[in-house]
Amino acid sequence: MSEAALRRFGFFCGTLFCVALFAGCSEKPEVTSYREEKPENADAPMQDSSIQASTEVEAGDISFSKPAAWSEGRSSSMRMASFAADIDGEKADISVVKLAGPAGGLLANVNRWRGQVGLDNFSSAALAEASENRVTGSGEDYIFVELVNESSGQAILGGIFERKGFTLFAKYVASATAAGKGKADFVTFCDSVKF
Amino acid sequence: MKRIFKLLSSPALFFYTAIWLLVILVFGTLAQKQMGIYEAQEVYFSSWVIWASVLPLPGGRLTMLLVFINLVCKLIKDTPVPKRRIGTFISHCGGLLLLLGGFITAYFSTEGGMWIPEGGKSGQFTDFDKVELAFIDESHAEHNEVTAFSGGYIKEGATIEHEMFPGKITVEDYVRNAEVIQRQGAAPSDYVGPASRFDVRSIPLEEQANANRSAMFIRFEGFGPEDGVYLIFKFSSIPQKIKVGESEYAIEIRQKHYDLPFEIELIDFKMEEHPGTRVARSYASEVNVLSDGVKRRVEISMNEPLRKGNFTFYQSSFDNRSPVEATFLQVVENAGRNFPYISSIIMCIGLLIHMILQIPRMINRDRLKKKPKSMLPETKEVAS
Repeated sequence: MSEAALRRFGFFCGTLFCVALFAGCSEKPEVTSYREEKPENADAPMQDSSIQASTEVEAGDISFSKPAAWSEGRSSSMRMASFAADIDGEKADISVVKLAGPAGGLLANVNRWRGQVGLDNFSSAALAEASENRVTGSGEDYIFVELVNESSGQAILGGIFERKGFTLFAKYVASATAAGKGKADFVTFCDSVKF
Repeated sequence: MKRIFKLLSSPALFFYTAIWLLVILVFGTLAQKQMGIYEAQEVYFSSWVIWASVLPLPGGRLTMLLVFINLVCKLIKDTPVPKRRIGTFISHCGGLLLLLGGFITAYFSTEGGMWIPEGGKSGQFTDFDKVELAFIDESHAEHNEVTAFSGGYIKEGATIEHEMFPGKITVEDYVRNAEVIQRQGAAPSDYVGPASRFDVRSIPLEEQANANRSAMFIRFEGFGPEDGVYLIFKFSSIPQKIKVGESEYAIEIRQKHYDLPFEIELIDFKMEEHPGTRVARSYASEVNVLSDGVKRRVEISMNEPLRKGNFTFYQSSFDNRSPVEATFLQVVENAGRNFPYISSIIMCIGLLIHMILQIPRMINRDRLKKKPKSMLPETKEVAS
């Protein structure tokens, strides 16, 4: 084979390699089967929190009483504390998040939650009407909201503590039915927050 | 053909593409603050074309392909290699290998993360970016059986036909980051559940890819009474369920799961704080690697990742505020992870050989310079 022919052959092979490399790289449909552990609280028997003692939990410079029926929830770097509850076989996810400053403001955050359950945004006036001002056992005031979408069956209960330099969000996500049943525990939890 | 080959093997092509790569690198790095790491990586480095408004510019992937072709053509052009250029030839080969490793990393690597609580263990991690459509069989007492569809299935128009299902599933619409909104007007009659009351609207992507709320409308055909169009979206607190024969499956869109060929158990999470502050100075995870019945104790700290097979585990984050501490390990599976080391060594050897081969020429040049003018050959004068 002459030198020129060898070069042409090499060029052809190189180009073919590049084309093959890139043509074969489009995302292919993929099916995988795997086994995963059930969430820890998935089959936990429902506990009657009213007859069991709650647990005092400290998270940084904030403390609160965890209702006995709640178990540890999924961890996240965003969350100060995370719990899960099982209410008649339905799951509830409870999170406590502390953000710097007003964190976008009360209205924006409540509307973000409303969007998450498929509800339209509140106006400031509607928020004032629908929210409840509460005071914790240690005298801290906070705003309690109950966002229930009857048509989709989703609900969020929220306790928002606006403090100088930070805002603390306690959030209870569950189905509308479960939220109705778990509301008392969540309110007790919010009322127990101490700074 | 000759002209194309000449152009593709031209050193000028390498020169300009290298400069363009630097430009992309600068803008891509700056954009990471605005767009987030993953989005910036996709737009600048993993793209074929970067759209500067309406102006198409070569993306990182296209530019690197050009460099690759340029180096291949240059090698072909220079073959057979003269002895004095063997060093640069080896360096070129090293450069090619580096690019090849880059391609393997770009297309065959996986990046994700795993949370492990203290005392717990895990043999799975989830992708930071890619999502899967998971059908979860929750009927088993101890565990869930999951069949997940990902990659080419996660796009509008994709169809799923699987032995598990009696019919066909079609993805009617897919939105990467969606806002779920109340439907204006009546939905088509075959839209069932939340799909009949809600619609989705595409919104800009989040900085962190796994914070995007992916949503899709999927149509079930041939499933009997379960037929219809369902709305599935990420972070939904109430998963949709579908009955197939005796089995019931919960349907979720979630981050793609991967199985590890071993398990990692967190023994203890340790954190040191800067004195007088709550700011972490260093943190580390003491773990057991459980593989083939063998338990190996390792510490993963901020600058000392754990490497096992093609997997690397980096200490990335932690949760020390929950009642039980947990660690977050970033997991990178990269078959091409050794390419940069090997190619760098090859390039160094090539440059070293090139320098060694240059030494006699440099000595000769020095000798010529030191010689008095009268001793220089007269050819120069003749030539002028």
